[in-house]
Amino acid sequence: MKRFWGVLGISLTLMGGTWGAAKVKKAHCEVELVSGTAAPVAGQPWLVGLRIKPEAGWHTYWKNPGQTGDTARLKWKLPAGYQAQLLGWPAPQKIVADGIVAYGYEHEVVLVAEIKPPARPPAGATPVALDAHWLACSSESCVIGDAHLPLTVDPSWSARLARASDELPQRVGHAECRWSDGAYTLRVRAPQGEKVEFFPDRPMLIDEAAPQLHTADGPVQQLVLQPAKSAKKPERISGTLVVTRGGAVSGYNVDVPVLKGANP
Amino acid sequence: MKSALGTLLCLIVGGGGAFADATVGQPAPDFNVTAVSGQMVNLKAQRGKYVVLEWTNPQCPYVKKQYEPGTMQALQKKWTGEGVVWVTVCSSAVGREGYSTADQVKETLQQQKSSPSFFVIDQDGQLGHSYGARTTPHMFVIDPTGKLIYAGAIDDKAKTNYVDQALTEARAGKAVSQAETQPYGCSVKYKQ
Repeated sequence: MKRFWGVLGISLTLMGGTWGAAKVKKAHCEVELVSGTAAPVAGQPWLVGLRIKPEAGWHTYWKNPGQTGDTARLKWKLPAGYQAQLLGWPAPQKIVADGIVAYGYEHEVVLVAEIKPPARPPAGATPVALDAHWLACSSESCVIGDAHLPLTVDPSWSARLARASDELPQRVGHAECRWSDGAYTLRVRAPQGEKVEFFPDRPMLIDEAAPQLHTADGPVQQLVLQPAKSAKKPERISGTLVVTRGGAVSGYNVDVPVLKGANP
Repeated sequence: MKSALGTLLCLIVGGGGAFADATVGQPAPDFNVTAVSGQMVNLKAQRGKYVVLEWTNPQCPYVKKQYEPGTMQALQKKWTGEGVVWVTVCSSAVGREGYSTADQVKETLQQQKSSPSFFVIDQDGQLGHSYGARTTPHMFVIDPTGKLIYAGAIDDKAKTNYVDQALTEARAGKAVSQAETQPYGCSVKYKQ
């Protein structure tokens, strides 16, 4: 009898997360909720990730989907007292079809979130789950996917999630935006690359489809951005500068007031 | 000569780029198109009435989300009942998702029990490009003077239907509180 309870105890611990694959294939994507552990150190935040891998020819969307599409919605299923916070969105890419510019991913992404337990969490595994809702599109059609995802535990995810978190766009040390002659000039301290693009994190800031004139000025990347055809002119410009260098992509988060007039 | 010059000016003004884009607060781009009913729809001829333009693609899941529970039909019924002219436009090119012949459109309208004032097949994308329609749905509201007073999404994905809000506010003589929003949905399947 004692032995039976012991076995049950272990099974319950493991059931906090699902061992092995709890991958869902839906809406032309493979999705799963992953973590390196289901029983983190008591009282300490830990990382979980939503992995979304679209099939070839399909894409998903960034937090600002651009001129079309829709962003993913995540609804965490956590025990009372727990909180989940998305740590950011990986650097997006421009996906252009028929002159319409979307911001998203044609490749696999892992959206990393931090789970904060209450001060005195109950012992054992934490039942974490996620209701994910996403849009996947090809150049010809779109499909909405939704899935209830229990946590898939694989110790190798600890390092992978830490790396994914490190690779998220960083806050830049210095950035400035000026409005003059009917365009924004954005200057950001960031490394030079073969491709430097700005992705606004809100609609109606810039014309997403207009070319962005890039020049490098020493350690500063300068982009001339055309405004959105909107009645209101924004007081701030915010978004992510994405630098592609030797095929590697890095993102730099920008949130600056719009200054009036040319560079002094 | 005078009339030739007039025509030329109209061509220049009306020409625009591939994406001319309609701007809120400005006169809405004029159009003169044939609806599936065979009737001509001329924006100028609708002066004195509010006009709603709705971009659609019956295969798009975001369009289905509006039609399957009957939300879009109810909105059409409510406002056409108030004298608003509702024009549903499909800019899918021949062979691309959402394209339907006039007969297929009539069948779909009957199945959906939807009753726009007009349905326009814009297979060459001219009307879509002149408004900068990018998604399905993508909504535009034009006031009785021909000015664009709303452009963007159908709703906030929660409680607020932006078209309903814009028409309600404008007809009460108020400024439209959310006149520009980000449309969401599938991209318009334009002629390539």
